[in-house]
Amino acid sequence: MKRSKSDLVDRVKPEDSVATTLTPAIETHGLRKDYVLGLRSVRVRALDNLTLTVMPNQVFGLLGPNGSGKSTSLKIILGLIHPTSGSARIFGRPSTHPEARRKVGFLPESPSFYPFLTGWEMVRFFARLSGVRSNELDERTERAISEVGLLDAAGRRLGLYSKGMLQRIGLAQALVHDPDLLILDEPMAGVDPFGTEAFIRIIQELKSRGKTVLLCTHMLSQAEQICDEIAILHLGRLVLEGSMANILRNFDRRSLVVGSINDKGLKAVRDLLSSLDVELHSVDFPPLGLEAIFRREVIKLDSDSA
Amino acid sequence: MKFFYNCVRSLFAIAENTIRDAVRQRFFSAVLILALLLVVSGLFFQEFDFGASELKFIADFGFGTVLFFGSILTIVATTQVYFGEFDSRAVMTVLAKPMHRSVFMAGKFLGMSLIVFHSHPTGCGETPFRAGLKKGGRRRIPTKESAV
Repeated sequence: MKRSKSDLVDRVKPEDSVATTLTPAIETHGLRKDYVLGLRSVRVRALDNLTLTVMPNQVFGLLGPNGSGKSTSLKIILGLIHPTSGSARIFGRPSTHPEARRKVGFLPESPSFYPFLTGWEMVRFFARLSGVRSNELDERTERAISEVGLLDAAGRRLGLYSKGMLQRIGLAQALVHDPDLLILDEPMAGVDPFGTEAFIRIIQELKSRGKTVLLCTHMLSQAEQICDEIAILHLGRLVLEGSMANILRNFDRRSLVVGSINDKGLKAVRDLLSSLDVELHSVDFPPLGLEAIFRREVIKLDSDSA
Repeated sequence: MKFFYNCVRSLFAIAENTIRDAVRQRFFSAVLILALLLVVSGLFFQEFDFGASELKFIADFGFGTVLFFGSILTIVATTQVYFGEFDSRAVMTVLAKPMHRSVFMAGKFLGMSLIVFHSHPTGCGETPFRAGLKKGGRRRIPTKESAV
């Protein structure tokens, strides 16, 4: 049975969405990618009719299980592979055109660089490829490496770097030419909590500087923390897209927070809801959060002493 | 014009990187040192009389070594130049930069060509130099006149 696109895609649009005339940072239309395998030419569809729009100054999360087509989407967006059908544009230019990638930084999944180069040489090499002027090469290289906290290890060969260090130096090469769009494929995989925190800080800082970030990740808690918009892919299809705030809202349920209530009052509420044919799912004490408790206790002590 | 300039810059950056990557591999250094040692060792075999002149022996031995090790270097260094990049997936990061694939291919080719052409003249230059030294030295090649 063939399902229409509207059946497959559950789009959650932000309530306060405003029509904008800005050129999207990334725009894909009906992307489809078929891989032909083996001598019998078996076709495997990695991506099926993907239409996405990433607006400037957004942190956009592309989420999905393994084999859902996330990396294929990124490769098409970067012009590394050609789609079977459909098109992708970066800041309004076809992604297959090299100049479209002038202001794009890319960190691939499990980055593999030249093991015989030092961290400094590698970042400098990518700065040259990105078009950084000769007289700015050293300054930009130093700034990018120091931004990821690897200045001490910059003179060491990449073959001696740990996985987390490779991820960080990979981020440095993506940042070295100060790109407007940063595409990160599983950037926090294999990175320790401090490294993860640093990555999140850098992404938030980039957003505050007006940059756009397309983040492809499995780490949902981190995505929840930093993404403005997300799209969930499964089996090459877009199954959910929208702003994080709206997606996290559960429209099937509502919570009522009341003041202190005794058992008698609670029973009356239950009876009332039951008479309205509304199911009461849970009754608990809402958590305050450590910050709220801290503030409450400090304010209480201040008022007591006053 | 700017696009052409960027292409040329990328081309030389890739070529330079290819050379640096290749010469830092242990195998490359080992073969190069062994080749140079063999070329130099021609000096110690000059007493052998194979029915040819001393100068001819040095030249044959030197050029033979250069040819043999040059061939090994050429084959080993170049066969992996493209596939190594694809296998390690380092190529993905490079091609995500603003340049044509043809620039990448040409840059790698240029880098490898420079390595091969450089390794040959190094050996080829050294052999005539040594032969020249011998010619101007104590032991001269016997000429028809001196033999008489």
